[in-house]
Amino acid sequence: MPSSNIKFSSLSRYLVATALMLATLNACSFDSLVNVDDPESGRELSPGAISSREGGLGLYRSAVGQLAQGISELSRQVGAFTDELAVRPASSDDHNGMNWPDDSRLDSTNRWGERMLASSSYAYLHGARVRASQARTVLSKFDDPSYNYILAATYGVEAYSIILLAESMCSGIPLSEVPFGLDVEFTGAIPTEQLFTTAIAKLDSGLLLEQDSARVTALLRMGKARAYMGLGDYEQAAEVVADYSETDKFELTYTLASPYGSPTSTYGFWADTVLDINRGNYNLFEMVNREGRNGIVWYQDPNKIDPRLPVTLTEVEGVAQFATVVRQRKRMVGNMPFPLAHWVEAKMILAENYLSKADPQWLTELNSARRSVGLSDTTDPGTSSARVDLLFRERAFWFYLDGRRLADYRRLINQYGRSIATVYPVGVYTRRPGVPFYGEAYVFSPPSSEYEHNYKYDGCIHRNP
Amino acid sequence: MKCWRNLWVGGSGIAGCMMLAIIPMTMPMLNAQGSQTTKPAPKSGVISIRLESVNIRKALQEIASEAKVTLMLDGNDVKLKKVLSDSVVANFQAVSLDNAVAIVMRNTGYTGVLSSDGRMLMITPVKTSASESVSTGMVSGTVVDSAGGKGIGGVTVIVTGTRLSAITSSTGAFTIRNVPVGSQSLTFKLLGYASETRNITVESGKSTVVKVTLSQAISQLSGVVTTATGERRKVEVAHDIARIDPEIIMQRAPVRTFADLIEAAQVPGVLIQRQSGAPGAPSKIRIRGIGSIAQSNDPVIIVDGVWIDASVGYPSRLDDIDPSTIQNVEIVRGPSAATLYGQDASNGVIIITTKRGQAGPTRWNLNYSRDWGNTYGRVPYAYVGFGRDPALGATVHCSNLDVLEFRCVQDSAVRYDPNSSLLNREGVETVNRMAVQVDGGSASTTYAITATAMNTIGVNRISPIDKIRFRQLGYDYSSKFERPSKLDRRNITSNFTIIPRSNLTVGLSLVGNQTSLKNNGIIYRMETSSNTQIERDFSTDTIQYLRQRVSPTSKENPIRSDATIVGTAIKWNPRINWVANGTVGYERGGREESVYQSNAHCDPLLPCADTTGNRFESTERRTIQTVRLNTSTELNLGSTLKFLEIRPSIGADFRKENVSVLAISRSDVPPGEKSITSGGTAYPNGYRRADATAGWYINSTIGLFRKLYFDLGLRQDIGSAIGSSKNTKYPKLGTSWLVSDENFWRENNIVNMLRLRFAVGHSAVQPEVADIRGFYIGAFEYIDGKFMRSVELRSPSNPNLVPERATEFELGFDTDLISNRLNLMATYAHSENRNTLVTRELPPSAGGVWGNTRKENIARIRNRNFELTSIGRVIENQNTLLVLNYTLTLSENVVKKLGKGMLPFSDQSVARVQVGYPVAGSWVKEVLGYRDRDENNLISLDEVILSDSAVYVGWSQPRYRASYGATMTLVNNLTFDARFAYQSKYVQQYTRENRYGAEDKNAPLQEQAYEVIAGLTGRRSVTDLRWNSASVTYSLPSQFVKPLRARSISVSLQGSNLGLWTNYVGRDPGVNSSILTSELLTDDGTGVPRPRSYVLDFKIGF
Repeated sequence: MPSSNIKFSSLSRYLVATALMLATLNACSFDSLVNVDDPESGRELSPGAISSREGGLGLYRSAVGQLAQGISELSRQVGAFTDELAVRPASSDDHNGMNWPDDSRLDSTNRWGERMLASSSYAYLHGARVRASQARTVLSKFDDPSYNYILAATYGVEAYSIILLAESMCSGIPLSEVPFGLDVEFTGAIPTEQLFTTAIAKLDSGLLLEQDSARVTALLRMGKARAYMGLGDYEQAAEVVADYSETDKFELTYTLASPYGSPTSTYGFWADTVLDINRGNYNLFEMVNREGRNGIVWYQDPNKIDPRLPVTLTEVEGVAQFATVVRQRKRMVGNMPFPLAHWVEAKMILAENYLSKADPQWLTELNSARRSVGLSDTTDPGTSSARVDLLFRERAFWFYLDGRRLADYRRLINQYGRSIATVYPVGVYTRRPGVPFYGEAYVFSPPSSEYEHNYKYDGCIHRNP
Repeated sequence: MKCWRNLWVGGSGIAGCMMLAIIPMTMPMLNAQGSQTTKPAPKSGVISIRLESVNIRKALQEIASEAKVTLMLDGNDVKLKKVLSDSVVANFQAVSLDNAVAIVMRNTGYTGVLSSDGRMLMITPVKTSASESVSTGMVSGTVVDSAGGKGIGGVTVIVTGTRLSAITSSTGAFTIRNVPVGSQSLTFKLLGYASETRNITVESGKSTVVKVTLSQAISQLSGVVTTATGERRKVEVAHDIARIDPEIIMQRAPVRTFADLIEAAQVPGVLIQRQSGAPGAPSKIRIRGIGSIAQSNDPVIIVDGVWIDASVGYPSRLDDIDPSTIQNVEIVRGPSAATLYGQDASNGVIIITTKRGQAGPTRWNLNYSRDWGNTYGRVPYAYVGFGRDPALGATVHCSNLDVLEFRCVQDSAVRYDPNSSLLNREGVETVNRMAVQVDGGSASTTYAITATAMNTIGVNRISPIDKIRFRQLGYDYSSKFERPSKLDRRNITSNFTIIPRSNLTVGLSLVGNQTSLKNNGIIYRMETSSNTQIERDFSTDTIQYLRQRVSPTSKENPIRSDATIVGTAIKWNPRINWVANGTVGYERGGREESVYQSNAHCDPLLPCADTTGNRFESTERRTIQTVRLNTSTELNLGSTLKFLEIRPSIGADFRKENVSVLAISRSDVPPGEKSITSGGTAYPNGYRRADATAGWYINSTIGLFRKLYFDLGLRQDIGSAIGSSKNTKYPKLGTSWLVSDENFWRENNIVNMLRLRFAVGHSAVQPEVADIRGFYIGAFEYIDGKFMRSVELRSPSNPNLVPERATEFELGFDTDLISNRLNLMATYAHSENRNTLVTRELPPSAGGVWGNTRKENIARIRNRNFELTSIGRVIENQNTLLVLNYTLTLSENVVKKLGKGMLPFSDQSVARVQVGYPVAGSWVKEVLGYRDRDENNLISLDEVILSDSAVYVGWSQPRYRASYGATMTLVNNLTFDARFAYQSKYVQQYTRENRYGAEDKNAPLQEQAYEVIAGLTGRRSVTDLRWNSASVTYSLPSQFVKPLRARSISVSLQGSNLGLWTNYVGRDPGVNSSILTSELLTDDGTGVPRPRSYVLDFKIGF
């Protein structure tokens, strides 16, 4: 029928045209049709831009920087909660809630034990870990042996971050991953022991890489030894660093300067908030002496100052309750190296291993280190308990404000069976008579945001005092 | 040839079965259906066919095909060849072959003759006889609108029972020749108007003059609406689409911006949120609530087929579209309607069609209006508290919150009257606005060009006390600070329609806009002893702190924005039932902003040189490329299945947006320098971003018996962010049932028409590219004793992101009641936005230190809206027409889910996203009681009892909204109009300075109590009734207009924002200074209230 022909001719043409249209659309690669360049900004960089050698190096540097920041924050926090630092009173920030060491119930009121500084050091250490892993992913693509030392260093940075978390916090810390360009992988609580073994595994991976950087090797070895110490395996730790020499070291550096030229935008490490008491609102901390009941006597006489811990006594006007402020001089200036791995620590590890086996060599190792800074030899106190006290006192002086003191408290309790009351600076906060007491044990658990945003995390497994 | 029978001799006539006459191409195309309440009268052997934009040859072929006859044409007839190439448009429904051919061949000098066996149709010249010529007469006359008395163009005038018909000209005039003598009946039809029939007597050789008045039909179902697949009759569309005619709106209310237009139209479900009453201040458009938490809730805006940038900037990109240049606006509400528009359409679509030209002589329309505006209402005394810092002992300014939190011990409060002659800085706002429009054209080309210019001087002025201070300080405040807020806007919009072939229409539209906004002013820096500077920006703030210990510095903030929109639309009818549409569009928007701010810190009591300054400039460039292709066909299955209409269509579209922003700031600019290149230290920054989406869709409208329609569609999208791997298929289904056309329906005068509709559909808002890919920032780390370049992860990637998916069903009805005097439209819409994106903080274990957030699809939001529109003709007679309309919107917004482990998050502690409550719910501490214990008529802090915890007080959007309007037209020339709007159950944040002071003994105690704890509560539930507008318009009768050689002249006196009745303590809850940054915040603290303005509007057309 002519009419039908017309109609169905129309229909068929329409269908043919439709089919052609769809075919054309399909012929174009849909994804290429809408593909756009990555967003760019003055400082924003897309993952595509980071997938380069320079991007990988940038990630590695970020990891190192964040590790430094993490240790810096941890040092301040550990210092404040142990017998290393105290908060100056009458600060203009007192009424802004920043006088937290005055709050004695440090581990009793907050469900998660969160403290502002804790959250910052916690985040930095995880940041270092994640960036290091991402840097390794990016740089591994290039299969360039000249990058092996950086790849090895990324293992070191990652492992150190884990070790610091394990040493300082409760048992049960998550190690979420952010694989480069992929989705976030959340993890639940990982016990302290497992954190140490994870760190050892990563350090072993780094040591397996063929590279000729003595610095990096020193970092990896010391990290491994430190992890074994955390596990209480002094023998293994000593074995790793048995031949550690004075030239074996890995240092971070810090500065007060800013890359952006603004003097108010300080970068990194302790100096900005801990040590420069002349910096307006930042003058929160000072050095203390024999803090609480168990605190170490850091100095006795201005004329007999331990070279490992130089101090300056300063008369400060306007501070109502005491006129003399003790300023430590160990890390007072910018652009100083900070030893992450150092032969003195090897000596301390060797000494502890010897002491655990009642080998008199332990004292030799301690004095070997003391002599390096011109100190006279110390003598054996005679009892095993006093020997342990001496060993840890030596560690305290060597590692003052390095963020190690809390880990040593924990080891004294968990590995040497000391009671909390004999380790922590329990008692009156010496510089603020009349204000509440220190608590008796501290639990550094992850900040609230970890509980809120990590759906696999339910909290610490063990307080790990 | 005796075997031929002349079809016209002895023909049975049109006999009422013809539904529509021929419409010349030069006239606007009319929908073929006429009133939806008219039932077709099926007739055996008749033709039902739609002829659009075809030539006569094709039309005849289609008719012959439909009638199953063979068409015969004389190939040697040159004149016939020419005739056959002429265009014709018609729509036959059950029309006989005779009449169909007669209509197509009308006025051509040819006629159709059917062979005696009825199998062949031959086209032959018409033979007239002398007897015929003397037995006819002529009918002429005019058709006018009952409302304004203006002539109505496009009305079809049919001599009932004959093939004779005419279309009225734009003035309403018509002439029909050769009308048979004797009694005749004329039928007048135009969509949107009630049909009229007039009986006349035609005398031989004489002219009969008729004047007919048509009344606008109350039914809202007439006409066509724009859908993603092209124009559709409204009755076929299952969802509610609001249509706005700017010309009508602007006749009754002052409209300066596009947002003004939408607000004045009072469309249910559509909310305008204003930032401020200052010139150029942007507004947000929210349709059916808030569906997104982290994504934009802006609707899609399409101008002449071009998808434009609708972001809320300053000035708003929406203001690039001048209301004077718009022919109509259609608001597509909700995902069920917006499905086929693709990504980002969940928030609704606003389709703007700019003015089109009409064929005919050139017409000029001139419009000039002048506004005078000022702020109104009592401004309470303002107080400034002073006290001392307990720690430092220094004198400081005390806020109530400072007092509550023991940061300040207040010892005094200083009162000042912001409206005092010295402090008052509010002047008279003036707006001059001019529009010139010209249109015209021929059968093949039409054009319309509209040029507008607007100049606004804002209400702000420098106060006398400030002048004195500046003079004392030796400052030259000059005239640019005298009236600091100014806006100049120039817009030109042009439209060209070209019809190169009868089946091809090409449209070209161009919009150019340039806006210049100046916010000059003075910034006061209050010097407190703690060196905290409280900056109050003169150009935007309403009231200053006390002029004590302040350092004034100058600020100049010029902003220029421009926009160019180019759209090309092609419509091609390769066959009678096949239409292909294509639109190619391009928008380019630019914005340049500079801020020059002197940076003097000097004692105000001493002369102070403008020694250093800061300068900031940013340049923004946006380009949007839009390509939209659509093809649709109408499958008419002919006489065998004439009850069935199927119109399938398929289309594809593509959109790409490029944004580039360059910002440079420079400090320490030498005195007097305004250039970014001069001196100082420059800090450049900026970004580039691109985003593209593409999609295709299939859609089909199926009509059964012309009263039950189904609309089925499916769309699939791909996008830069989502790629093609995500589940981005969006289905839709709608049905529209004209119940009153069913056989079981009994005609009555109570319910004249009833349509039921239901629609369900999905749509989406997509994440941004950076949301999925993540991004890093460049940084430095200090490594081995030196700074080295590093990169820092700022937002981890989230490859699992999918677009937010909104699912909506809406159901409703439209009905004409009480002899077509009352029209009701009611809609209930229920939408669920799933996979709602939330900016979620990542746990620190994922390695974040700064900016450790990313988007996640973890929330679900539900919006429910009930919308009602009612239009009624209360009085309707020859001299008086009174139309009342009423709209009602009930809105509910609830967060149904927030993701595992996601705690309620807050913004400034009062706005929360919490499951079970609206997205922008406000939470404040409750005033449980207050008592003036010391009986000093002052409520102090210790005399107020507050709840321990915050309680929910409401949502930032009104729960209930209603509008009411009345329009009365007298003797077709004089129109009165008044509009009111009511809003209730929404929450507004207020600040202390504009309220009752803590030391105002005249203030009600309750208000004092709220004021005292303003820092803790700061939010009040608001109910307000606003007298939005009133106008009186006079259109001069033709006897006065003609001597001036004009076509029309009207004068209108309008007022806006004429009254406000509210429980709100602040100045005007209708402004909301924080809308630019967040859905969650509302704050009237620094917004200039909307002025009350009076407008004189003058229009003349030639």
